Amino acid sequence: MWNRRFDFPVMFSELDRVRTQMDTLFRELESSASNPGGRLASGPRVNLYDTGEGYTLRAALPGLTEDDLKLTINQQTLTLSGQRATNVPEGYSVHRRERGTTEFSRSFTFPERLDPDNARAEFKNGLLTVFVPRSPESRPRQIAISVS
Amino acid sequence: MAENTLQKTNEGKDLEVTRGSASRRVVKPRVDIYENDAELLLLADIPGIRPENMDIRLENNELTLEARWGQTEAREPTHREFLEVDYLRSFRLSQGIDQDNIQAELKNGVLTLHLPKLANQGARQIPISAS
Repeated sequence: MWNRRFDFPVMFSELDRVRTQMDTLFRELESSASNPGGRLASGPRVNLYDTGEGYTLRAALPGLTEDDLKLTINQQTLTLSGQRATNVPEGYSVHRRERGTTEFSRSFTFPERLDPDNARAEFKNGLLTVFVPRSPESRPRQIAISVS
Repeated sequence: MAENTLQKTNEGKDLEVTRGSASRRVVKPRVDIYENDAELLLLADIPGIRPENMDIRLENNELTLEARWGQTEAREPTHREFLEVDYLRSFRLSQGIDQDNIQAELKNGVLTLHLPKLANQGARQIPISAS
């Protein structure tokens, strides 16, 4: 009896801890929603799609050009790096600066080998879309069943 | 000078707004605002927005930037870090802006707006308030 009563505060403090974690998680989700072009400490935010044939990676990179970006694929790893400088234009005074300067390098490791020779990238309206196929030996195969 | 000419009504923490029953999230784009003797210069990050989905309106000295994401990806990403969003933000212009000669350019996901000051306004202050 004594023990059980004693456990209550422990249980509630555990619930508090979980709730705090949930709050933190939601705050992170909120900030990512309100800052789609924003950057994590380690680079731009990306969305990743598994298309079966390969992967499509989409990254919001406003204000960068093709020349500011570098994309490399090595076996199972895709690395995206780049930088954007938002300098004050010469002769202007500053009222407001919310757009940041950034320099990043971000790597994504996939569970199978990639096919860099057939990768495609498109950079349009500040949105980078990269499609990289799985290497032929990594792709799912259809096995024909012959009926005798 | 910036402190005098700009009313800071929004300090970044409420960069997100929600709009009624709209299904997509509406956020305020991040902006830089600069000024020289001839003009105000506004840069806004709106990645993913096509020019035809960008709407710039000027009504009663209120400049409104509105951008719609357009088509939504049919499938949910396997891994998601950002949402497809619409952008909406308004700025109040003073009478000191030559409203007929505002120029806009959308390039690489950045909107650039040139807001020329009216001639012979001298040292008049140009207040802009961002909401």
